Amino acid sequence: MKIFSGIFRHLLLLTGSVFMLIPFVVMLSTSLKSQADIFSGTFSLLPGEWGATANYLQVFTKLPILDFMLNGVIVTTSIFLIQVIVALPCAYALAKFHFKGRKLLFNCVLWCLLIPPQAVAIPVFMELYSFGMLNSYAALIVPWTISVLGIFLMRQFFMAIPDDIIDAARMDGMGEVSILIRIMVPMALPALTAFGILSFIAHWNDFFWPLICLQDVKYFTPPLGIAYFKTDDSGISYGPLMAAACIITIPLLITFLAARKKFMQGVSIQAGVK
Amino acid sequence: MNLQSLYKRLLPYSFSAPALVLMFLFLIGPIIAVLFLSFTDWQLGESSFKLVGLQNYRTLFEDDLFLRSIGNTALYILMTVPTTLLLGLGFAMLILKSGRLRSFYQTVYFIPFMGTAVAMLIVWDFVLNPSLGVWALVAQWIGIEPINLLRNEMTALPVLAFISIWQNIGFAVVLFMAGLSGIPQEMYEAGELDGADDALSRFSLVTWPLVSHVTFFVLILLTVHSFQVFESVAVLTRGGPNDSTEVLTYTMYKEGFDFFRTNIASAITVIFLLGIGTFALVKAAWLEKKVHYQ
Amino acid sequence: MASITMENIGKSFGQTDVLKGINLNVHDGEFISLLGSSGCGKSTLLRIISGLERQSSGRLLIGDKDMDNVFPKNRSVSMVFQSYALYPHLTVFENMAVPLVMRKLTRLQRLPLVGRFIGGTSSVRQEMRDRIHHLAETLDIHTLLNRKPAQLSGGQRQRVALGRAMVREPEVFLMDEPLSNLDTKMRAHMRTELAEIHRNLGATFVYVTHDQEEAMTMSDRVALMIDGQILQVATPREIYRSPVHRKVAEFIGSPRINILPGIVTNPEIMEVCGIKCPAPKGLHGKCFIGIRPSRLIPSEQASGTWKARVTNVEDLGSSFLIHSTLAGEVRTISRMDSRSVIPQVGDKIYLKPQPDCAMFFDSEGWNHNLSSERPAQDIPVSALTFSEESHESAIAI
Repeated sequence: MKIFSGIFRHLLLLTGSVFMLIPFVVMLSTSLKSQADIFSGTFSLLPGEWGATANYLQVFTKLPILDFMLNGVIVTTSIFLIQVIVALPCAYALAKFHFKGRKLLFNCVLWCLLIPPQAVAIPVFMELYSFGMLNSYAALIVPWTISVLGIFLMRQFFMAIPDDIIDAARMDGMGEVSILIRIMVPMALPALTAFGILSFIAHWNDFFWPLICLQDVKYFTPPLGIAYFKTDDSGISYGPLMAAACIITIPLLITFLAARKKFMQGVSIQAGVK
Repeated sequence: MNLQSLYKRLLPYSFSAPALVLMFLFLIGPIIAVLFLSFTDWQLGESSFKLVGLQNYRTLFEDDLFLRSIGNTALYILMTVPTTLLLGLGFAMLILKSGRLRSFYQTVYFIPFMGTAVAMLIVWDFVLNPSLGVWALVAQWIGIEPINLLRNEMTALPVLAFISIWQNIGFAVVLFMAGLSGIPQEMYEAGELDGADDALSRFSLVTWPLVSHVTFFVLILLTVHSFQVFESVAVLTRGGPNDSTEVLTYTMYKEGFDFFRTNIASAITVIFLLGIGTFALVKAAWLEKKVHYQ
Repeated sequence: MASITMENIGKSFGQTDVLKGINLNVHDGEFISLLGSSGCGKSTLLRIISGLERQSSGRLLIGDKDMDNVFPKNRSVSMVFQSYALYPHLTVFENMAVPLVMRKLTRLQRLPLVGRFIGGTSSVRQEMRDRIHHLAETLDIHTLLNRKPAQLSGGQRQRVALGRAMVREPEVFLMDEPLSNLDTKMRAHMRTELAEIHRNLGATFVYVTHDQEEAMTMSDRVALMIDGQILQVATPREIYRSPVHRKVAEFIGSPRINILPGIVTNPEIMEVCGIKCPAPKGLHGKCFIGIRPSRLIPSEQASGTWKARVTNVEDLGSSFLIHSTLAGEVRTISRMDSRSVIPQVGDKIYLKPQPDCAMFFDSEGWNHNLSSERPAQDIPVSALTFSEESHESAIAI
């Protein structure tokens, strides 16, 4: 009975796993097939006729895909760095200082947590338009430099750091900025990592905002770039398209696999269930 | 005023000033602007505007496309959220007791959440291709005509929902596993002493009540997430066929950035905010209560 | 080295006054304890001396220099915290290096990588290393220098915290209940060690504690604080023998002093729990007499003593504590030598104060014997006699 239910459990889980992995397998196998093989009418896992070289070569020659990836990296790291620079001092002030307006500020943060990014798109677009900042890296980065989730998460973490440690640092001769950099940040590193992962996932994948604020292909991030490739190539040459999908997905997956515990913790931290 | 106390008094303000300024520029200000614009007749590029009261909202609620869009969004939420939730909980429970393969399964189920979303949508587009994709193979296997699922009015929205479920199960699994592993083993032993010895009564007596708070939060999170569905529509169907996948964010996008009817787009945004706000409010209240660290 | 002068220091948080006009002179090189129960303001006073907090009114001088506008890092003051407050992400060595790095190196020199190429950095760093190693050896923590605080025992953390405070050789050490997180044995050990460190350094120590035993054993003087005020500053011996106020008498000494309510009926005669006795001159109305447990012991005599019923007996090994109840539900504790005859619970006994040991407190709690308006007592305390109403005999205290 026990063995039977164990087998049944694994059978269910394996079926699920196959379902989860199918698109990835299809993506990889199609990227290796020649155009003729793809259009042969029968789908097979292993390529009947190899076309990997041609497919990947076509992606790299016809599409500035490495530029897209680089844009993605530039944008996500800039966003995260500025988010940290803006959010950490604010979180520190909210967690460890008593000042008039603290409650109001914290309520602002909580209310801002409610705002979905799509809701502010129109006015932010107008703001950037009037500053002449549309269609640039700045347009991709600046609106996201404020992360209320970051402020919120870091504040919660800072609250748990004992006041004595901060006082000790003051006695030891540190200024408040030094305390933040030398004491608070190293102690809150797990929370900061989690926040970094959340921020990265959100902005690497973002499609809505780049779609609105960009025209120039040279600023395209990977999601926009591959969508552009699809429409541009009228969707016929699936081989190179899947190759492009592989190129922008696989580095991400490898990073994820290498640090999957941290990723999963990072994702669940926003739900408050560690 | 003493120098030292002045320093101490000003410090928190200077620390929070950048955040506050940016918050006003990109969150609070825009929300107020959207609210205001929704009561005007202003459209992008015009130099003057006048207040028109509820005119924009009246226009919207007389517009069949917009009503369709609201209906589709609701339908999409109804299709995705309960399914993702139940599958997530189910798989989480299975994975939790799968022994040595536990972290393998967890990783596999989480992978769809990690793939670049738009790239994976494009892969799905190919998978569902009626003549070339896996779908053709499956249809042939069960002996039905492989229709073009994304070009069919009846199937397009359910297929988008299906892809969303595929993407988010892993997310739900991770959250549920965190919740489930927090249940102490003694609770099950106590339950067993009380006569709950089969799987079903164990579930109803111990598991379900003790993960109810996680369930609730996952529910809210998924709802907020589904409310914001945009990418799959924009990449795969563009609201079609025959408006059958027209959803709120996409309608807003078209009005605001294709037709540049800023006033109408703002009114849609306000309605979108009201809808999502209820759920987001619960989410924020939960976060404030729940997120603590040791 | 430095003395500390506090002139009329007040501190209020919003509506509540935490400190109400503190005047205190701490001499150069002195070990002074601020003793009081939690919430009495002793930690706030310590934080004002450290510079972490600023007084709302009054003046603070360290070594004759006004400390207004002097930030903590510019005061020659170190602090040891109750929780030790070690940086959990730094090793013991790094923890001890922080105060030196922040003071001896410029902002530029502190920079990672770049810093070490700026002139003089390496020699300063070498000097710091030497000093830390030397200090670690005297504190017996030199084998722990590469560990993180989480890998240390309570006592070891305590030493590291001390080391971090000592490394920059300040003139004043502030200690905020540094021993309260240690177990009893370790605490007794550290007490001696702290006293030794104080003797060796010759620095000024201000030591905050709620534990009268710590205060009494280590300090040159004890400042007893209640409700944001200093009630008495005196040597341990003096504060035990001549507490200025009933509250001081109650705070110092374990077990607690017995306080018996009395009332002066006729001039110079008072009634205490059913027994009449002469009252010192000038005392009138309601009053209290205080007798230490070791001075209130069972007696054979029935006359001129308090009738009492034993409610509990505690065996402490070297001595016994007898809890008893007098007339009027007044509870008392007596400490008896373990070799004497110990009464049983429920026994009726007679309690008799030993001569020359009663303290008289007036209706406001001030010690009548020390009241400044009235000079020395007219009646020598030893001549006081108690007399019970029914019997006309008298006893001496």
